[in-house]
Amino acid sequence: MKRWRRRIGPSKLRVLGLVACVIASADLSPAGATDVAPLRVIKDQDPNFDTLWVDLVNNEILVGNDAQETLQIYSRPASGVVAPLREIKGEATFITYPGQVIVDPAHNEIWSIGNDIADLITVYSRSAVGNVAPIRRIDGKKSQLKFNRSWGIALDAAHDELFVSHQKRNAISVLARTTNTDTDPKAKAKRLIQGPATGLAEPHGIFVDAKANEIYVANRGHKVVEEEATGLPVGSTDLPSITVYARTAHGNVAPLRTIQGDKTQLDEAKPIFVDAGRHEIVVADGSPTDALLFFDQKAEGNAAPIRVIQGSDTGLSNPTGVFVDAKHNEVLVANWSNHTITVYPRGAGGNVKPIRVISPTKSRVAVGMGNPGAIYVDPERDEIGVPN
Amino acid sequence: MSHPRLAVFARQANGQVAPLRVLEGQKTEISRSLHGIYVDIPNDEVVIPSNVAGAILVFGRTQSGNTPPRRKIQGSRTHLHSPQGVAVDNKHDELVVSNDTRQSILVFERTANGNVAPLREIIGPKTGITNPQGIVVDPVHDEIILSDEGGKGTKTPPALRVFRRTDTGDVAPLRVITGPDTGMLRPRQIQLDTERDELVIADRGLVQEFRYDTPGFLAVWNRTDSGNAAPKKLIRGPRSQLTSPRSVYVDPRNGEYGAGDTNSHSIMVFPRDFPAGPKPSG
Repeated sequence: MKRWRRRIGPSKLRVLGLVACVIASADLSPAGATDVAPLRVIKDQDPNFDTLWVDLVNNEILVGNDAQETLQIYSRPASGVVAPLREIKGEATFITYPGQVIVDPAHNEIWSIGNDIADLITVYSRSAVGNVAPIRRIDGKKSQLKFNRSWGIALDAAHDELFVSHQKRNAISVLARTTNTDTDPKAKAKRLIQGPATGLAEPHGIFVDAKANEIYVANRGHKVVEEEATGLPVGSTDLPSITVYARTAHGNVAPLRTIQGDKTQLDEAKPIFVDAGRHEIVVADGSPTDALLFFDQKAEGNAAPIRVIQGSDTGLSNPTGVFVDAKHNEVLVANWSNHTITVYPRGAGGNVKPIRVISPTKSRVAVGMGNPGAIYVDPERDEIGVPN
Repeated sequence: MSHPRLAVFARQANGQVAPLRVLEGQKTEISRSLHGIYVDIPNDEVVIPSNVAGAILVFGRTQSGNTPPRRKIQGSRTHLHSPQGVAVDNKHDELVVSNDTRQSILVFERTANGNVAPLREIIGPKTGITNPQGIVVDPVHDEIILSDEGGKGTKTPPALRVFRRTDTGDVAPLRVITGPDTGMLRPRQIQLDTERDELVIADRGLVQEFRYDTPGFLAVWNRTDSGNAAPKKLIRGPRSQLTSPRSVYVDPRNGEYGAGDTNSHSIMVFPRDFPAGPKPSG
């Protein structure tokens, strides 16, 4: 197998102290191994799109694919079953669990963040293809950065800053756009938003509206804090929310506005985008709700969305990436559970059919395996259970 | 990883297939970073820890859709902090949890619900618990077996630690399997093969530290092994397709092992009977 045989080149990425300890204490090729072929393999062969961005200058769509851990680029006006124009994949790329992606046409760059235990931001040339090394990296495992399960990134081109959401640490880091821990291993974040006043709870999607001077964050509602008096952990599960901060906020700062409550219809919402032209916040609810929610940009409290795209005709299936293309008046969605990018008219609502569907395959069946960190067999029911 | 959920597949599924049913959505309170699961067949339930919410969630075995858990253990009295592995002791009606950030093992009443204190907690320097992951309980021999990744800023190597089932506080383990001959790198989910009196672990290797030349494996020890003991057999290599297995099940009825592979986002099923590899030389 490819990954087995190939050795990665000299890496400037420092692995954890844990790894050094393990290497010192264990034989990495213990004798006695048997190389047994599996009887069966449950696995997606087709890509699962979990994020997307539209390059309006070059008329391309960038998607993250977490089934094979690649980035793919499609023609923006493409429709139907089409092959990607380019693909970035392979060990040299360091793509692992791609979270959000961004195209920065001003600097001709593509951004990706490695989610889950990767906590690694990688930057490529916009035209990169194949097994290419990133031109810059931000290694969030550096002790001074302390990323922890980072999912969202947002680029503020006006102020040359990068915003990163940390799911488990309940924090937002702000870094210089050109941060590179390979050349500057001690690089630090410029600002950090973190603390009980922030309302951050398992933050995922993040968006910066430089014109409004605000940061928008989608929170799933889970968190653990340590009690000051006892030091004991206290887990909690709150309703999901959208929190809004001043662009320059830092420290334990309260949000300017919070959208939260039973009227919001927020349910497993992860990606977030601000349509500045229509003054709307767009989020996507994951399965089984499968909906796009549009809020007034100044909405606050237990606010209902002003418009919802939802229903059997929409083709939405675990939408985990959303982008509003103001130039072509379209809303584009990456659907994780059916291998598609669906496109809707900007301003549409209800059970609306997509105006085009882009997919590299005819199949709409997905295994949908993320990180199978645990598994059970139920011999009585002849079933296998696996959480993501 | 994109979407937190519990997906259930037909045992003999193969290829790119849809799950039979899915438990997902905000009401389920299922979070990301799920590193443990236990199907409690006698009580018709499934137990899932929520790492990021410091919670243990209990669902009906066939529950699906956007539906809430039957029970939830969460709050200041629970001591839950990044719970990883879970196991049910049906003989003593207890629930055992490996508790990562607090470096402890928690034992609750099986039917515990709400902000409840554990019955017992194994915690302290004598325990050696450093980075607790998978856990099983053996009510026949009255033991709890923990897989421990080690590390976390210390020089503690990875290990399997065996405690008395009724231990509490700062106690040394009864036995520890650890050392270079074990080949352990980052052991995760663990299973007890009661029919063969064996321990089976998934070791995720170092692939996710971007060392693609050091993949993980499935390994088998006798339950009573101790010290620097090599596994009696293990599955590893390019034909196996295992790159970073974090999870494992043992299916004696059908003579199979199953593994969940983090790096290739797949489930692989292997025969339980396979020839042991060559013995170490020297």
